[in-house]
Amino acid sequence: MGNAFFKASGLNVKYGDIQVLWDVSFEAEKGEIIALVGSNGAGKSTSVKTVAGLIRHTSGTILFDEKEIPGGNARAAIDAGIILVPEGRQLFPQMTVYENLEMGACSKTAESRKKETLEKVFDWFPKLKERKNQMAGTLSGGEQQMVAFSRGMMGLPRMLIMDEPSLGLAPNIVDDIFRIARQVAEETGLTILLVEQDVRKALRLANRGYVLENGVVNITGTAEELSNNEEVKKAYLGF
Amino acid sequence: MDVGILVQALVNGIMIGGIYAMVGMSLNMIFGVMKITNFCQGEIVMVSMYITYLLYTYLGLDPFLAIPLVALIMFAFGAMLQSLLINRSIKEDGDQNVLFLTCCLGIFLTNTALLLFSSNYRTVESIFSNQVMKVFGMNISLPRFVSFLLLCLATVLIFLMLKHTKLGKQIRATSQNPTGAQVTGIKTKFIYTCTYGIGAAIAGIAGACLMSFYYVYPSVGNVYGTRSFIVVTMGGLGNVWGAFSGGFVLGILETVGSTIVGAAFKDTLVFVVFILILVIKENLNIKRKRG
Ligand SMILES: Nc1ncnc2c1ncn2[C@@H]1O[C@H](COP(=O)(O)OP(=O)(O)O)[C@@H](O)[C@H]1O
Ligand SMILES: [Mg+2]
Repeated sequence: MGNAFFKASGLNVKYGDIQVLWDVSFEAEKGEIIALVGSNGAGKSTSVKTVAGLIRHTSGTILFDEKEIPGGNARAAIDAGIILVPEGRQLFPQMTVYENLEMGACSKTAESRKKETLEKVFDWFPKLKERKNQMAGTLSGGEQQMVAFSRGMMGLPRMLIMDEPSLGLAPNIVDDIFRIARQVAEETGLTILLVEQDVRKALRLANRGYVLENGVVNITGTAEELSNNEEVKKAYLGF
Repeated sequence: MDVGILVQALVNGIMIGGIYAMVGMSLNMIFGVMKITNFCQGEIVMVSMYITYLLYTYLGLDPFLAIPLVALIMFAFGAMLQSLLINRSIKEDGDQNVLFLTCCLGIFLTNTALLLFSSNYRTVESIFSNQVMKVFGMNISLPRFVSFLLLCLATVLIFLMLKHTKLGKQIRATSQNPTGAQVTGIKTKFIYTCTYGIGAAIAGIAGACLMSFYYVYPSVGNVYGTRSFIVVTMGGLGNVWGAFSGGFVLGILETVGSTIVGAAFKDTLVFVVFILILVIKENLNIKRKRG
């Protein structure tokens, strides 16, 4: 059996002496949209930060398109095509929307195709075009999330990771972003890894999911399987 | 008191304020981006003054002409300090390490200078040295005036660099959100090294200008170290424009103050006003939080 396009296996991660991820594994095929769900503090952000090279794992491997991604090297992950849209958006508040987007086009290829990508982004979100000279810190939460998503897309990802994009946002804005994400995934084979606390929201976009509890992956399955799983229903869907 | 003397003091204050503003700005830039308080900024000024002195003594270079070279050497010196020492001492939890390290570096640099150059005052000559311009009956020292103009020019260039160049944008991005910087692929360690280098280069430009009308000795850094802290505290830590205006306020306070209370008391006056500003600012902050 060949390896999946993206495959994180047996990730162990510690903060100081405290271990928060225990043999966490998840994988995705090219163009697939998968979700990582679980309650607050389960280790979702830690998992994706590890994949994106912001945190170093103590053991385990991250394979992406047949290549191993080294731990703790954000730039290496980005150059390989893995881009994280982090929790809390992490924009540059005193830079304009345009400058924020510009910063996303970091690798040589991304920089050389900056203009095209920017046009696409403004097509998706005409509001950002209107506000391109406004400071990012003065935007509404929804608009900031659009900038964060777009800044990620400016880097021409082959796998986009979104950490809790829906947190504190109106559903219609989230739907907009999800619709565009799905469209790009279908058109270009972009792989998407979505992190959500809200299982219901996550399964609106994802084809398949992993449930993380206290740093361990306990349940996994297709969107349908997860929505029908008794444990998931009880713990996360409020039945 | 004669108004003419006060106006003269005011002009002198603005000119020396330019130096303070520059050193304060360099300190603030390092703080703004790296969130570390650099306790050896004054000593970095001292190093740049000795470099200017050496370039003059061995190559006959005029201190003003030496500015680009001094800035370059200081950039390399700062970048080296940062990548070899400071970067390795930064821990996630608090910055006591960096605090001690930069304090010790200051002492180390002062004593190294003492060893190499003894405690004698060293001076250099510029083509402008000891020349005075007469404007509206005021005597304006030419080297101070030229320094002031050059510092203004350097400041404008630094702002343009931060605003428009790729490196400048990456520096601003890193200072505003290090996590955001990392996820957009900015090599934050490299940015920290560059920023410290640029901070040292700015201090170096101020140092080279200073040499055209002032002398250097091993502990001269104290003068500029403490003053840059006053400037930065008045203007707001991390606020580059604040540091800039703070520099002028301090310069004016010193020169106008010393014509009123006498030169012997000028430092006392400066520190009394500084303490008052701190107390008033803190009280305003508390009121704002309560209100
Ligand atoms: N920087 C950190 N230092 C120490 N512990 C952390 C840090 N970040 C997260 N943790 C801990 O790791 C666990 C997992 O956190 P996180 O990955 O943020 O969870 P999630 O994203 O699922 O809410 C939590 O117990 C949290 O308290
Ligand atoms: Mg999280």
